[in-house]
Amino acid sequence: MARKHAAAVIGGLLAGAAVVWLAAPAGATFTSNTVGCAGSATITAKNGKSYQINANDAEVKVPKDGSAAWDGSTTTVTHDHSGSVQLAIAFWDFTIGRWGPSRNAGNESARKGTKEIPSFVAQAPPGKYVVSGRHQGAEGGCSGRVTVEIEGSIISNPAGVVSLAGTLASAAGLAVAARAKRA
Amino acid sequence: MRGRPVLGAVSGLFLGLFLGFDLLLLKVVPSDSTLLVLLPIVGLVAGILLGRAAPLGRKRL
Repeated sequence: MARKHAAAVIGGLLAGAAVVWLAAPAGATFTSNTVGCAGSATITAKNGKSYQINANDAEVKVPKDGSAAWDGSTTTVTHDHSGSVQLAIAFWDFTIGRWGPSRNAGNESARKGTKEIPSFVAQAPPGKYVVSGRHQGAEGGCSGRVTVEIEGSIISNPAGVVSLAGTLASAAGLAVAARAKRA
Repeated sequence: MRGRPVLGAVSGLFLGLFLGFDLLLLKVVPSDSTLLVLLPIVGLVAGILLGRAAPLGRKRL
């Protein structure tokens, strides 16, 4: 169980959506759902602001810190199940978390809990990250994808400053390259 | 008189990479956007062409 938590929290990328994936293995905007996956989360940032996330949301905003109270369920109890979460970058999907295989001998169909948003999320650059996930058991499974928007401005993150500086430097290099030189 | 196609290729490639990253961080495009791959390719090609053509700084006769 602890392994499942860790996989989903890391895999769920950047906090809130991770928690939803953990709660409702698979997640927002279901592309398939044969076992009735459902889930939700309430994230409370350290500044007190509250964020509501439902497993059917196509896009969610998450803070960089705080804690998330999550719950998730399936209408059909699944056994011998496993799942994974991927981060989509351009044409490629990178697995960022997985769980199982698990027999689910206790016939659990619902779970809930509270998770602190990992500290590394505070360093994550702002942006819209597309995360997909799937959960598959002997009785069926579900899969889906969600766009996770991490709040913050481009200049509030070191990566953003480096990127802007790199853009200017590259543009300057291109201008030099396009300038005719004497033979 | 000619430009610098190698410098143009490198600069164009990195301009495309950084521009894509800027757009991602500005939340203009999501992480699964094909622009993140297309921009560096377009930058590379444009950089080579600009470096070969060297349209800037030519003296008019």
